[in-house]
Amino acid sequence: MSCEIDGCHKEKISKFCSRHELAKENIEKEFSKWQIAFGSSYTMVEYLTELIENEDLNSGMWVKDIAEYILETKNDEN
Amino acid sequence: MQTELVKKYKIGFPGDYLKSPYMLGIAEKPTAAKRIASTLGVKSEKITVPVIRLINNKKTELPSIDIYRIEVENQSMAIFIIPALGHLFTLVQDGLGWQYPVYDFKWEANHLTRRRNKEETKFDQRIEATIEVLRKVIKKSKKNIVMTDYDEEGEVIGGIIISQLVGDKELSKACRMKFSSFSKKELQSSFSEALSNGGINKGMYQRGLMRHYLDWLWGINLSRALMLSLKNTSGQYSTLSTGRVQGPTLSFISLRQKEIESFVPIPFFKLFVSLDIDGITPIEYDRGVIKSQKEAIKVVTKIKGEEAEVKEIKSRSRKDAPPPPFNLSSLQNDAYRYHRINPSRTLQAAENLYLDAAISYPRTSSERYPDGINHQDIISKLSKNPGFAKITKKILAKKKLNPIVGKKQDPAHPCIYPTGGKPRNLKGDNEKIYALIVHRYLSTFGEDAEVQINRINFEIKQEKFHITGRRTLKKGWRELAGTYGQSEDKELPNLEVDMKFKVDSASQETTYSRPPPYYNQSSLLKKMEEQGIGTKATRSEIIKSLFDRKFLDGNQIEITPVGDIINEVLTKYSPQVLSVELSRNLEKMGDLIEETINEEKSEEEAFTLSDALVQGVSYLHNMLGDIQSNESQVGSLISTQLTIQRKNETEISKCISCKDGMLKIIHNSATGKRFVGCTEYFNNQNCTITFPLPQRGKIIKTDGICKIDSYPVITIITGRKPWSLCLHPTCPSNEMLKKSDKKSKTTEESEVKTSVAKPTSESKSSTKTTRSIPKKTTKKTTKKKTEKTTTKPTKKTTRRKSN
Repeated sequence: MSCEIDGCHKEKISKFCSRHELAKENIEKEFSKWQIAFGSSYTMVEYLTELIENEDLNSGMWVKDIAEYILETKNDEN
Repeated sequence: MQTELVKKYKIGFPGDYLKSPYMLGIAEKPTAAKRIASTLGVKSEKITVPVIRLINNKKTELPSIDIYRIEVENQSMAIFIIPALGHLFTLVQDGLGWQYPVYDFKWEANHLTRRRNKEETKFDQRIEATIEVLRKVIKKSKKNIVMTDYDEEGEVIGGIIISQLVGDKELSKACRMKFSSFSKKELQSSFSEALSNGGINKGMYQRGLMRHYLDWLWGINLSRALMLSLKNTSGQYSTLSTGRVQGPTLSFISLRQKEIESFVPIPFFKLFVSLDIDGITPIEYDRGVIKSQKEAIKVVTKIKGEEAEVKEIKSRSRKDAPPPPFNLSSLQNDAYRYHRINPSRTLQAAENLYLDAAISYPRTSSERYPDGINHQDIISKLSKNPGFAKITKKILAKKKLNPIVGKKQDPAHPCIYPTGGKPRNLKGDNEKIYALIVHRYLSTFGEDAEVQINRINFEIKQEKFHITGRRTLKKGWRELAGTYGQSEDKELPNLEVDMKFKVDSASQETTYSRPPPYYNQSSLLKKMEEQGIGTKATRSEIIKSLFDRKFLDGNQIEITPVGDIINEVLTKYSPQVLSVELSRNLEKMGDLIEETINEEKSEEEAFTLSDALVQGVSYLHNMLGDIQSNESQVGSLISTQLTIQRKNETEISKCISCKDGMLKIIHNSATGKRFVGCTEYFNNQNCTITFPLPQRGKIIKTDGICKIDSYPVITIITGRKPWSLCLHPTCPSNEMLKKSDKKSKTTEESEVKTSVAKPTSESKSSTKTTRSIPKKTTKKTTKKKTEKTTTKPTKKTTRRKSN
């Protein structure tokens, strides 16, 4: 079974490999700090879009992968 | 039936040199032998010794070996100085079979190991000839003197030559010259000491042997375990390796990369406020940053258009002591910091300077000068160099020379310092490293530098701000450090308490936390040192070998997919291999061996080389067991990653002809040539399109498409500069490159060699033309033309600047 994001066969924790799982945890953990920064009305979609698109941010590559995946999954669900 | 080979050597010593009694000196390398001979001998003669190898009467002329015959004051016997070429003997498996575990090993002449299954090189022949000359001379030598560098490696190089050629008994009788520079005085005194009471340093020798044995056992067994897991699981072969220091070092890079790639930036807000004081003066917010934008805006609104009041003016002075003299680590750090010279290049340059008798021995961890060093003499000699004349004049004017030293000590060598000897051919890295060493040396004679740190505190509507400045009160040692001691002053405006100033502007800006920087060679070296793995002499070599094996890449070091998978399987299945603690413990065992010998410990307290081997092998045995019991998982993880990586490296793009297959780099196993073909060819020859490729250089696929014919563009790296090539052999863009190059030749001096492939039907051969490619600095017209096929190589990871 490979990671749903890049198809790698590295150790899997959930549907992602350990690396993408780590990135996902970090994304979830830090969201509250972004809400403190920009207010409680700041949404997850805004947050993820910023992580992907803002080049000055230095978001990690696995973080961008996960952010894209979550956004795409959300779009598909809608 | 195999006939036995009869091997003989004819060593052509001229005259009767070997008939009168003589001594033998073994130097580490030819340059060192030459330097010792010319410095130590009152009479020195270079002898070129021809060596002929006869195997079953078949003659092969090996390279002649330059040795030196010197006569030394008050010595009746002449001394032959013969240079080794680093290690003349190496460890090999004792017995047959490519399996693991392997615990039996022996020393073997290095050329035999090097040329096993390979064609003989000139270097192999030089090693062979050197060994045979040594064998001949050592037989009748009255005394053997080890003249190699005085460190663990030097002790093993010299010790093993004697032990292998004439046995351990002779080794115990051998003399040892212990010197830290090639100055005449030091060589003379170390020579007399060696003859009177100086045998080899047994502690250092045994410690060196322990390192060699354990590193060999670690390396061969763990590497084989990885490769055999791969082979037994998938039938694939790939050269994989790991080792005692290599494993943990690779893991540092992997962990850092993990932090960077899973990094989520945190926003915070910075205030930008300036006051109208003799123009615009920016001030800083005491709280630094604000976590919430709303709050930041609130502060800005509050202070805008208001007045700032000076509440306090503070100043304090600070003393900066001169830095201690260089040891190898601090030299490598500063060389990277000031000149971006990586650690292995720094070591190389320092060794060149040492062999040139311009500096003391560089492989040292000491920050202390040797007893009896004559600073007056060294500085006087340095003063003759116009570049240092001004600084040295200041130092020589002092009544007493009292340099600062650091805490670190090294039992074998003092710190790195210039000897005062004039280096020859001082250019490139050597020049920069020499300047760095001399300036650091001279700085140690300086007094403390003194700076005044000034601070003015402001208040605007209860919000606190400040500005800081610094002023040099006394340059002290910085004056002696040349460009390496510069520090800039920042003057503050002349203000008094209660003065008020209008806020000129106030705004807030969002900034984000940054990921940790990638390691570079210098910071990686520092990390290894902090963690206590490897030695000053081996660390830069380990880093280099990780690069050579393509486990690491780039100036901002990243782990490659192959390096990554090795690290991952070891993390999962045999984490001990990556353990810093374990590697450090093994280094400590070396200390114990040395202590046992130096302090002549009793049998009960003793820790011997055999103890270290038993302990080391037991660690290793467990690790190998871990890998073996998970062989199929280890093998399949490596195999999957290798397959993906190989596919990524060879598949260029979708086939532009059939649109079904992939264009792929194919190697013709019969001719060894490479070309691009479609994968559909292997499917009943559905697509037969092929393109020729240049046969030399590294090919990197790109995302680029040629603007003229939409064929894929690849990048070729030959020599130092990459160049782009449209796959279509007759594409005008390739022609344009050619023309623009002709033009650029008239404007540029430097040339880069490159090849352009021509169309072939079979794709088995390609024609090569040599031309130059314009540099980035060429005229605009040239640039425009070359842009047609200029693309960037595909890179999986996003690169960032390090902080």
